[in-house]
Amino acid sequence: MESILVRKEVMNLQTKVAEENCTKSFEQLYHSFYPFLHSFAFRIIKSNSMAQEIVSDVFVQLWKTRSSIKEVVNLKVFLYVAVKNTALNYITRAKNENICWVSEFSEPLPSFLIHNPYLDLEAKELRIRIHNIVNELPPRCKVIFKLIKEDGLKYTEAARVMNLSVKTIENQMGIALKKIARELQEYR
Amino acid sequence: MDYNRFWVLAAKRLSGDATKEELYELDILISTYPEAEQLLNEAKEAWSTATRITELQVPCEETVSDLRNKIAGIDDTYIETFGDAPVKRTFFRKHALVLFILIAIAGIAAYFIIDRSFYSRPAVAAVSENTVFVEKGSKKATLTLPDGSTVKLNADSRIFYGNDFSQNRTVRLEGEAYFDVVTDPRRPFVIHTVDMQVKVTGTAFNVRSYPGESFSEATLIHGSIEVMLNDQKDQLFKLQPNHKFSVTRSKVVAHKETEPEAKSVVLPEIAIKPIVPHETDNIIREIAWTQNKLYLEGQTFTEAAVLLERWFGKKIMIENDKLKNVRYTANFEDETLEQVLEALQVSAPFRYRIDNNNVFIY
Repeated sequence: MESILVRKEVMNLQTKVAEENCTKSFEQLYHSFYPFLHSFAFRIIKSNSMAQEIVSDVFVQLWKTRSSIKEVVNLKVFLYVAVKNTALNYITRAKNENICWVSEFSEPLPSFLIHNPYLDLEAKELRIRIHNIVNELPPRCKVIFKLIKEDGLKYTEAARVMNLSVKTIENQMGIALKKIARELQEYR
Repeated sequence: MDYNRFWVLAAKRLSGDATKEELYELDILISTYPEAEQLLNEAKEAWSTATRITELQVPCEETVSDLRNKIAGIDDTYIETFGDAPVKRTFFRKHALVLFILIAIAGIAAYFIIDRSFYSRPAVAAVSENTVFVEKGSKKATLTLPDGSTVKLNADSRIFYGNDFSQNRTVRLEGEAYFDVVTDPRRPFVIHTVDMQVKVTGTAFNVRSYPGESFSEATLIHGSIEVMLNDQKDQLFKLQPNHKFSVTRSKVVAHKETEPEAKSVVLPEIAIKPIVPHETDNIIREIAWTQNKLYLEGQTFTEAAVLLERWFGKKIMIENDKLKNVRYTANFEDETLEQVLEALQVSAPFRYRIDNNNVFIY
């Protein structure tokens, strides 16, 4: 759910970049979107350094074509799609050229989980367990679930990013929720 | 019951994407099939526990330089334009001498540490300020800063930091955030808000300073922090764990009836109080939001509306004047806006209508 204010802020920055070649606004957009796009890229490509490169490439492209971004209605979706396509291209290229990069699978536990005195051991274990369950969802289902739950995309936005129908998104979310709820009950 | 349909509807409701018809359809299912209610509770629990567990990474200096180099490769005017961008200095540049005075009073821990150089260093370095913002009504986001410290941002909050963050650990905060700062006595971490600055070396604490609210607060969980008011720089307040510092903003009050010309300034009220976890559920209210819990404690409907607007990202308009001063005490965790309104209706009846991004109460 986005507030109208933030959409406006993003649109302002877009316009400044497109019309005034404003590098400050451009880097502002970069800093604001980077964390989420990096996380999304990582889900596809499983490598931290690759994910950084992908987001970088997307923004270089964005600067190259900056005069046309004023018309983009939803920059967030636009960037997610660009990241997805770039990541998939990397994977295809790697397959064709027989390149194999080492996936960095370590996703360190955040310190707020470790040091938070108000999350007792049981709650922490539960969170970790759920995290594992989510990670074991079928790949497409997992990406969709994370886009909606973690990144806060609307169903319609996720549908455009994944190039699927909203109906498919609905079904996948239903499947994900059912699975997680069931596993959670079993654990209990 | 059509289970697949149930789960689809439940997911849409929990994520906030359900239409009114879909919510109604789900309600019918719940009232028709007893197990549906049970399943929905399990779904709610699953949804609230499946929070993002990995932190979001903020781009570090290397990454930013990398981007600039790549762009400079195709557009050699890029770096030049950037280099000439106007420098923003919002704080004075003088570096005063550092003087540390530590006074320990037997039995009472009261310290005054004078270290002006950190407060006089500009908040924004010579390059630029970067922003990450979390909008109203959205899931909270946890960021990792280049030094490894983490910041969890509440809804409607923004954090600004300079490109040289690794040397100068200074940020500006509008809104609310829970910080977990990596210990490094050589590089104090300073948070600037509209009325105060909070300095830490390594610790966990919450800072709340929304431009729209009339107060700012810093709550210390463990470690130690120092607070200095922006307009009373001669005094430093050092907090002990499980204490909260709060300051209400100074304001100019006009006396209308008696002396129309006279105005008086109400000075900021400062308080340091111990924080007490709640007796029933042992939760510390000031950081309940980090666990996705929303508490109403005797707030009027008008005050509660501000909190709900921030939490859900929809504008709330109360058209019934009688309701405005009704007080509510309740706690919520992952309920939808409709569920919250329904719960509030129980104590004082009202009707509501939700239309896109607006909620009307009458």
